[in-house]
Amino acid sequence: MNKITKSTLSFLIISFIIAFILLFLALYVYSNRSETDPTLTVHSLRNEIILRIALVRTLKLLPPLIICIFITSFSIFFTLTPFQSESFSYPVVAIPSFVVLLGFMLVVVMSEFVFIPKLYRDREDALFTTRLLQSSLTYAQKLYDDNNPKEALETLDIYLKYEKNDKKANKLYDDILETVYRLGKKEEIVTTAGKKTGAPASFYERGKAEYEKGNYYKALYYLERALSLHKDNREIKELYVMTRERAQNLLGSLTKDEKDAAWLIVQKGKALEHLDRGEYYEAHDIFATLTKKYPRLYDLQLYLEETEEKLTKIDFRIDELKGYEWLPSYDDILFKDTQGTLNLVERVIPWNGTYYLYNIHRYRNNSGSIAEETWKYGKWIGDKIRLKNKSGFRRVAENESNRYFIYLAVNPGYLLYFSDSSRLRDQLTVYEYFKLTPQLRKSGLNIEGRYTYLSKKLGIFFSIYVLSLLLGGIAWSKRSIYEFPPFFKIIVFAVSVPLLSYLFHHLYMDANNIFIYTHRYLARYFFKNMNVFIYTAIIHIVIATAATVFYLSQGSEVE
Amino acid sequence: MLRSTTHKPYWFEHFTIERSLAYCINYRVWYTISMKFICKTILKIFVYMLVLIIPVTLLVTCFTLVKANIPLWNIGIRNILRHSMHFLLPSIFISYLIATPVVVSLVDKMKVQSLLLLHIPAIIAGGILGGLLFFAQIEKMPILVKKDVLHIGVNTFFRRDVFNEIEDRVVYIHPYTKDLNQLYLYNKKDGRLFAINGVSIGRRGKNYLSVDEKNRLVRIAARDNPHVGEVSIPFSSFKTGDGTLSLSIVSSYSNQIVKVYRQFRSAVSGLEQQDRLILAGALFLSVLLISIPLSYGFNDRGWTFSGAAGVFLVLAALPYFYGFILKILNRISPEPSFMGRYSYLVPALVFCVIGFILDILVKTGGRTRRV
Repeated sequence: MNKITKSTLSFLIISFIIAFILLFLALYVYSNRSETDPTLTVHSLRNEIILRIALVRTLKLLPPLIICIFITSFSIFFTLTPFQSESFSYPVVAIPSFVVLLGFMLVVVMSEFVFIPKLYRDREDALFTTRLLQSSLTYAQKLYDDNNPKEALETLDIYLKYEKNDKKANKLYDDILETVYRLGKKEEIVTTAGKKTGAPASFYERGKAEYEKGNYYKALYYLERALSLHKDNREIKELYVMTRERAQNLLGSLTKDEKDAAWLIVQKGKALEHLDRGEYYEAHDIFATLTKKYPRLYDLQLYLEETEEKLTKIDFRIDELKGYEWLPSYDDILFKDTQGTLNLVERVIPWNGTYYLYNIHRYRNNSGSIAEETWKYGKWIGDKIRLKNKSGFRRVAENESNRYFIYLAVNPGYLLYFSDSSRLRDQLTVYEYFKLTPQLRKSGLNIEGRYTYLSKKLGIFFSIYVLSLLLGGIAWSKRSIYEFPPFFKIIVFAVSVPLLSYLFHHLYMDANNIFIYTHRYLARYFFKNMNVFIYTAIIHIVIATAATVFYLSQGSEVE
Repeated sequence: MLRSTTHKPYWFEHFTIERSLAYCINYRVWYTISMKFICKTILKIFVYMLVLIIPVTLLVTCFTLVKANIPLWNIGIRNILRHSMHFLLPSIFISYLIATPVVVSLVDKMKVQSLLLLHIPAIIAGGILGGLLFFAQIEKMPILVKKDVLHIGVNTFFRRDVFNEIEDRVVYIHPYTKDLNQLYLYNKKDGRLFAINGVSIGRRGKNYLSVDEKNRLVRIAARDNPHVGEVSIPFSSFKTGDGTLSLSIVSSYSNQIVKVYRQFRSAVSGLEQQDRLILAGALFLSVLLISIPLSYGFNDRGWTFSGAAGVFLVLAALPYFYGFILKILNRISPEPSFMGRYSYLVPALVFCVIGFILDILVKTGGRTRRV
């Protein structure tokens, strides 16, 4: 690599890095001053959000920045002393610059397809977390006022996880702790916490422990579970037999009637069979009846709990939703399901990887008329939303599934932006865009087709390529031949060239939009069914070829 | 001999009786060179203007559509072409006003005998354009059609089976027969959704969706639903696209142009046709008188790119400069008695005087630095 090539590369790359950093700093200061959203009260998250906004703005300005660097390089930098040598010729700067341009374009491709969507999504997440923290602080105060210190502490923990040094929150935390000590609830809280964080012992160990304590029903539950996992384990079998004998003795005292005892054993056996077969609704019904009748049989209680735990994976308890009502939500969300029914949800709460829905209005199309139906609660389970008005678990018959379930084409997280589709579009990476566009359109979102999206992105990339080469070439042919350019001219250049680059880049994208627009006519009359992306790509390739020829045809002489 | 010395601002700097006589003696040579230069410059202005006409017309057309709050995404190419015909003349003049300073900024200073001479090609080119305009007016050519030629309908504003995002509402249209649709109207403010069945396109039946071009409204009527009744959505509620014209820097610039244009239009509103033409001519002359010396000042053969880029600044600054001067003139509202019935020409003449001063300043102080 000769000296001039090295200088070319270093001038282009260093000026790019310096310009990027300066631009980012300027935009960070600007974003910090201009962002007046009153909800951004959480200090740590505010910084995170501002940082992302500034970074997105900087990345979006990369194309004009690159064009501007090329003009400046060819107009000034490549005329400076390091390039004033006998061995200098135009190709020595033109070819390395071309390679660097391709490198810059790769950065822009990555930023448009991956970095910017990711930053937008992080920003949205941070905005939601801000709302969550504000709600948690308010709700913790409310719980404390309602004399519920245990939950107040748990809720406040969410806030303190982000804002450790917040005076108001720390004072509230101290007040709650003081109340807890005063009421003597500390042990209870600690025990609950310990239970949650401690590692669960094996079924056998827990069964043995319960047996030794004399809790034979509990021991029976654990040992039955252990035995179902290790059928040939002699140790478990022996302990299970002993426990069952003790439990049956106890059963005798509970159910004096032998018929009753036999019925209990049969019912329990049936319920266990259902449980093993994964028929949780049936198992739940039996265990619920048995537990109600025999509240002292702890094994039944434990089986019921286990069944309910299994059921929460395919169904939900209304209490669960009531417990989350304090969380911040996305309000009044409108979407279309796969059956074409329009749904309006008053509140959607994204929490712990799922979505809780409150007050769902469904507008069904019944052969030309519109029928409205309202549900109180809904939860996103698996790939559909389960709807409920009443508490309890109930298996939904197959012919009723369209009524009790909402089948969605996409995850509800994408539907939260139905009234501002550009907010969603900004967050989609190229992979998501390609994968989800048909489903999003099916859900009613006004989002452009995947090939139109690609064509628009193509406009950005070719704008960099064409304008950098074209304006770089013009800048070279009309370059400064001063030893060092006059100060006034440098100022004029410094003011006008960034603005020109910005404007030309946008004008090129407008031209690209016109190309995309004309596709509908040309595809109708001349190029039947031609893909819009291929059509746009052909036009850009022709323009890019002309720009490349112009760029390479420049010489070392001065006009 | 003259050619070799004309790179200097000759008669301005070295004006003497003897030299004037020398000019008179050699007027044929001077005349020949100048005419060649003038003709070439006029040709250059027209070539640049022709290159600029299509993009400028498109931009002006889109700008007017955006200002009229008509979404561009589905207006149809025929509508755009018809509408652009309506704006062809202003677009030609804008192209001309851009082309002139660009040509001046790129002209070879060695061939410019005087800065005054440089105004002549621009004025001649402007005169030719003005003549063509006059001819077009006499002949009543279609480019002067003033009536609105846009054909817009529901499809211009709405897409089927998707949520159409409007300022504070969302409209969803689902066609279930050839003529009838289900329409869902969601109000973002109160979160209420109205479902309307049997909606026809155009003013037909009880429930309909129509475009009222005259009042610039989209009307949704549901006569059998008292909660809806008739809803009118102004065109301004619709998104018009996200191109260059929506950039804050461009919209601020275009708003300034519109502001200055309105100020002048209100000034000419009470004038007769002849006075209007005089004022327009004076303003046109003032723009040339201001932009040409500035562009000439930026012209630098040692670094042509910087000079050409400088024209961009001149064009960017002109509307703000005009706005600023008009603001001052409005405050002091000068009414010189010597101008009699032509006092409406005061702002235009002020600009012409400023341009003339700029000419002198550039002439006397704007020597090109030697390379």
